Amino acid sequence: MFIIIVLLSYHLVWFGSFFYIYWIEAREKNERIFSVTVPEERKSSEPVQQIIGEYRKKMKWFGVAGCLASVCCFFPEPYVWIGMIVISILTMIVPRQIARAAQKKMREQKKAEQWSKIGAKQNYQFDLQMDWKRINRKIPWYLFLIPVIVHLGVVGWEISYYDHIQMIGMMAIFLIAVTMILIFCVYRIPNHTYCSDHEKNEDLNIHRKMLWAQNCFDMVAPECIIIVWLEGIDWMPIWGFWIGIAIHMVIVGVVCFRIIKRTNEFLQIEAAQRKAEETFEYDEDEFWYYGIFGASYNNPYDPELLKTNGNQMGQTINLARPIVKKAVVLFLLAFTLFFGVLLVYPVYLDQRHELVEIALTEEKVWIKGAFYKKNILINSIQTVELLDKLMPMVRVAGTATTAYLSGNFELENGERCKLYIARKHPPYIAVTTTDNKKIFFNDDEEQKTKDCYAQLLSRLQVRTENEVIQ
Amino acid sequence: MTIELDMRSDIPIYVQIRDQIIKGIGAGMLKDGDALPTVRSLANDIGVNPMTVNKAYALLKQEGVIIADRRLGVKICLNADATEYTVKLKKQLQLLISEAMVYGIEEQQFLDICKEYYQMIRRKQKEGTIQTIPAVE
Repeated sequence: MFIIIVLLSYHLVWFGSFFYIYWIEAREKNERIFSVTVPEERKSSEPVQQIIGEYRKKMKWFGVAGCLASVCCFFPEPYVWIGMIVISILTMIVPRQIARAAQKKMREQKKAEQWSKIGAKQNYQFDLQMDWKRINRKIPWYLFLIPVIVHLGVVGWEISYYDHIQMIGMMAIFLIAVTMILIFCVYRIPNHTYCSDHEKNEDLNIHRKMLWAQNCFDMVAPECIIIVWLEGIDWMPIWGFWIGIAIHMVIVGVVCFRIIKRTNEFLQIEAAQRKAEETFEYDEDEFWYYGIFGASYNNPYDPELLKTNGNQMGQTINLARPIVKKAVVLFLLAFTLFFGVLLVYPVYLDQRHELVEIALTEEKVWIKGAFYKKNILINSIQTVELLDKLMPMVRVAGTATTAYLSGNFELENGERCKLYIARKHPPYIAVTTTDNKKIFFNDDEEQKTKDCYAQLLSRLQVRTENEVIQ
Repeated sequence: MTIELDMRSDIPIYVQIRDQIIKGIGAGMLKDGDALPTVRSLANDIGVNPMTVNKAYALLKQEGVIIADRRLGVKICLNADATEYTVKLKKQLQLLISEAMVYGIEEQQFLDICKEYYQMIRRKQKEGTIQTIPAVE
């Protein structure tokens, strides 16, 4: 039932988002309809209304099809996954094709009636008095030190406490890389010349850069709270975990609201500027097209990095700018490295029998994995069992890959437990500590696991005999 | 002062930048001592390689129109050698006049056109009305 709810929610969000993005392309109050500039007086004309009407009709049928397609969430496995993949792909393709057809008709209409943007300039204008560095100096870049320092602190703490970087530390490093990339992109946003008044140009550019710096800060700063919370999960009671989840969702909601509100405010200021003053306008319709995620802009002649969407949905990126390509490559690299290390490195270690190592000392059992190093006090162990098979459980806060399981899990009876196991190498040792915590661990070599179990069992027996004698 | 660049033109961007700055000085929009944006700043705003802006500034520096200082940045410094420019002017005029002859423009008509443009730029210089240097008048 839980899976069905998750799939239905995913379908609602995925399909709903695409439907909405493409539906608003036909709004008459848009600056551009289907990314084509339509003069105000021509918006109510018959040909334009016909194109809009045909588009809306097709989109409605698409909407109906999407609602009916949600029944695939109730299909049995593996058909449900095949269905979800097919529907996800069709959701990206179908409305795009409908929008492209409408855009083509609108462009033909524009050519036939020779619509032109009033006052559109042929060539791009640049204010020579604006200086990129002077504008950048107005942005409080030092605020980005806050998330970077917190993330570095988490990494440092892990190194000092665990002697090496764990999963959360790696996430912190990834987030530092993302922060650096975002700062680089915001720093390099080119100045835009709105009009011939230099002071107005400078004010608007400072405002625009500040907007993006604040948006990026809002995206990276709350992650500090999440990272610190994740680091403390091992010491948290169950209610602390759920409160953390709730706080996370509230933070995401607040951040999204702030970004949307701030962006819309700026877009209104820009729109007012266009109406009030002699603003430099350009006819760039030919460079707008429908990509994977709606209207996209690709103009190699336009130095702008960010372009306002004609459907008033914020701003989009000029995909022709080299910096965009560099940023996309950097993001993909960071992503690939992160997930490559996360997923591929443990498989590599598994091949070399170095995935999970257990070692017994006088006082402790040490468990060393790819991204963790834990220990259990032998004196705190109450019972020890050797299991050939793990009981059914659900991951709560941890990692579950094909090679290993680590972190916090929940058993079928609702009991929480910790796992540090090499998944493909039974048996598994299950210990219960004096404070009723259940911990499962093993070595990636079967004999070592059995030897460890034997030693723990004999020490437990000796301890029990000593207690009886006393 | 704003300049206008035709990104699709056959004329190289660095030549357009250089021409626009010269026109700006001629129109009185840029005066001796006025600062120009740094190479990186202008390149970032125009969306071209910094080498392109560097070439434009190098050309202007060679012509004695600007100076570039690492600490103070780029400034207009009208230090052009009129003698050297006169040689260049004569060469360019020779071609222009020949072209005019090919198209049947008479001497007086040619001189009238030159006078008209000279006076227009002077007038705009005095009025200070021009804010943007257009690519073509």
